Amino acid sequence: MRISIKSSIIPPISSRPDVNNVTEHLVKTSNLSKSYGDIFAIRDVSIEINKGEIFGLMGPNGAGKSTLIRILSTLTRSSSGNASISNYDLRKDQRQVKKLIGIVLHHNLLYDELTAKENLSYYLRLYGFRNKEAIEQIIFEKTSQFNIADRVEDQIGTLSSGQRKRFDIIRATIHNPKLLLLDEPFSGLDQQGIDHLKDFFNSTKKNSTILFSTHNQQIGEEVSDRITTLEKGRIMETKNLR
Amino acid sequence: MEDEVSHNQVTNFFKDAWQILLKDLRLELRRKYEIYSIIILAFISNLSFGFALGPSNPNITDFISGMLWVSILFIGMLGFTTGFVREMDRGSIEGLRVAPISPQAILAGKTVYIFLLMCGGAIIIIPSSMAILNYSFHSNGFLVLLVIALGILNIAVIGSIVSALAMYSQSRALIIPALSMPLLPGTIIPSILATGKLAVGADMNSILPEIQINLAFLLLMIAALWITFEYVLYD
Amino acid sequence: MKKIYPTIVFLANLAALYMIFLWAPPERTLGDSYRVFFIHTPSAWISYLAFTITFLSSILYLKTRNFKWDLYASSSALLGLLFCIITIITGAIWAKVAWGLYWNWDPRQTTTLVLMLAYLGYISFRMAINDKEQRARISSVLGILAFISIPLSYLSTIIWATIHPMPLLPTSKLQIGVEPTILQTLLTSTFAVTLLFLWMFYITVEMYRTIDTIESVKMENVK
Repeated sequence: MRISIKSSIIPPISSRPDVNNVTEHLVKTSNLSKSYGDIFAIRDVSIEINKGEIFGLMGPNGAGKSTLIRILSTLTRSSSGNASISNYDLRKDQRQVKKLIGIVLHHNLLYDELTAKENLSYYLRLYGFRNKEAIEQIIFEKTSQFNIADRVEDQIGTLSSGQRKRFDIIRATIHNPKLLLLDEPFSGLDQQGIDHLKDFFNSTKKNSTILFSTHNQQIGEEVSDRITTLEKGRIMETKNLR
Repeated sequence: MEDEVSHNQVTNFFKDAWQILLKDLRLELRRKYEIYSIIILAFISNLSFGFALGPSNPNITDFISGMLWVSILFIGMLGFTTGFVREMDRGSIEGLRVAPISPQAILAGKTVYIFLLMCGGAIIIIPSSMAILNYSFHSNGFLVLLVIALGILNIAVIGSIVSALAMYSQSRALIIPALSMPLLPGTIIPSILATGKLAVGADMNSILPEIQINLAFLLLMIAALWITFEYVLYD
Repeated sequence: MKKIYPTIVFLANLAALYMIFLWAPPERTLGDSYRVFFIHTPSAWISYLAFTITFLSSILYLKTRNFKWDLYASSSALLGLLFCIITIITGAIWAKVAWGLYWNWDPRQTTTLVLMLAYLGYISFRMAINDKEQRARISSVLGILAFISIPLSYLSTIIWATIHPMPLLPTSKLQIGVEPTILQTLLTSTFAVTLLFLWMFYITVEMYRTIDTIESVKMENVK
């Protein structure tokens, strides 16, 4: 059932920033390092990610990919160096940065005992959406996009792992973040799941910049506009693929 | 403009805290683990004290306050794990940490949740113990409510911060009592004293020192947590 | 200074021991059994000083994220626990001597017990967190909150004590603070124990630093 709402509640696509204008970097890091005692998880990482890009972080396990993603998502504090997202400093402007990002981790951030709708509504409200009708409209649109609108009243604990993952991605993107961070999103997916995710990346990059990590070279190169390879916490190379 | 921004910040604080409280209440009403545990603990507690003190103990007023607050405290300990420890165990704490809301709103939501859980326990324990042990409060009912609510609120504040601290440690169930012990005496002693006085018909003037200490405790803890809690939640 | 300091500490404590056991005259009422007071009071002072150091170091760690402050906070807490236990034991002996009971819920006695619980909670909590940064950050917050709760515990026990007064015993009227020689002995022992604490603090900090270095070398070798 489609719910009609006032158009002023959700801004039309034409009024959103033109993410295809790549004159400005969305993400910029400068000599970013994270150490645990004398062990460096990442060391002197400097990257720039353009708006509208799909940026792949490649590397073996322990290369520092998850650490970099966690730092950019404000979950982990860097030991040294600087980072900014949309010119907001990661340390000084944390609240602003959090409004701009969405994150998908290894484990989903949904509550098993709540329905998908309750979970999504909860997160939307934490991101500042207050109007009940608008929230319902957004949930309907996003879940329809993922072909999962029919499961929205089910408790998360009753869903399959693939369905939970889809709802978790919806959770991460539901507030239209400028930057979507995904940590190993392709791991554990079958071929159909991988294809769905690739389609999702291509459709999302119009509105959001995507930074994801993977240790699968082939998938990384198929999906990304640019990739950076990390090894033992350092950048080995950065390649343009498109 | 500045007034508008700060008004919005205040409004957002309450709205965000409310969302977190609502979510926890919804979760609890679905699972009901803590609710059942609290009900069981309340009855075990009353029965134990009933057997220990006897049905018509002439000195019952000497024991009421200690007995009630021991029971309330153990209910609180059950509730402490539901604050942040449960979020950490599920992994959902990261969802709270990346959300653009103030850490104080998160703490406020969790504290009120623990407070409501403990109040639910108190609502079961107090009337049932009055029936089983055959005693009553000879003071104004409002004063009794005030003393108990204030004491429970202080314990809830301690509980939520202890839960937040404990979520980073191993053996969380064991560490929670160890962390709570040094923080509790400042509030539990005045609560016990005031309740004991109310059991024998004290008025507001008699319990004023205890109320003042509990209020001071509440304000001091809120002030300290307002400043320090973000260091607990974020790296 | 590092080489001379232990000698100074030794001499100061030797002087204090001499004054405690040989120089200070017997107390009018208690005779020689009051001398535990000269160990109890300085220990109490150190246990509160150590916790204050933990409190201040915790604040400075959160502000600067420099691990040296965390090192100072944890070292101080460890020593503070030791002196707190000494305070409680000697306090119990003193209470038995002065009032006939080992434990009588005196506000200061009770507050020192709460302080000991705070130390125990702080130290056991630190042992339960593996990540160095998390341990430093979280235990700093605990150090601040526990410190704030101590005065409130003291106030609470004062109110409690007015309702449950201490037993009045013939020996309860002591003139400890009045005799000049006794005061001098007290000040000397306090000074000596403070010097001892500072030396132990330095050794404890160095010990933890060495442990850290060994751990780092081990990790390097593993890599």
